[in-house]
Amino acid sequence: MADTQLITALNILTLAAGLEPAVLQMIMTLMGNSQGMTGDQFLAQADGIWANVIATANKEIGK
Amino acid sequence: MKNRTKLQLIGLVMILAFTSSEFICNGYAKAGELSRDFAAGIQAFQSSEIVFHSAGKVSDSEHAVIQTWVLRVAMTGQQLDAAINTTHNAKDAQAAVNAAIDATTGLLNSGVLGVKNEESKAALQTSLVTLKAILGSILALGGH
Repeated sequence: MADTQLITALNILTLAAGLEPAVLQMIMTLMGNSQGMTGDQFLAQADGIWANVIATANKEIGK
Repeated sequence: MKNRTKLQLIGLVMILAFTSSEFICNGYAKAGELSRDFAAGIQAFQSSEIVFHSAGKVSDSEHAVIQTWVLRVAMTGQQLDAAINTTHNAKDAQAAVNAAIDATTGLLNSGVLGVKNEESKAALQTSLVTLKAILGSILALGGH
């Protein structure tokens, strides 16, 4: 279910030409490797993503 | 006969304990996966907004407001991950889920809806509404 929602959002952003292929590729790779992962592993991935989002937001705000 | 009944009971308890812990662990993994998907979606949203800004479709001031809200969403996302990790289920992480929903609503109402370029606004708005639904899916997991 969540995969469907995420893919829908990615499709919308891709169609609007607002999503870099590298970011799309990174997310698709993460989703493709989800089989058999534990809760701890998913949360570790999420924390890594949030760290990137925060670093990027701080950089963009500071420009 | 008495010993046999006792053994059967112990067996039943062991099966129940195993299946219930399996169920809890699967719920934890599902909550973790949903949280990861939400984070990935927000990263895609952020990246897209930067592309629109670079293309001149989102102004500097709109960009600064949106990225400030993205920062808030990311911080509530980190708190959500910590809450799920601590409680190992979605029910007890409800306050953290609601905080993430509030921040995402703020990003939509105070950031995205202020974008003047209609095409960029539509893409960012629709994707964000879809991503917000992932948080609803975490709430829907309840105690599972």
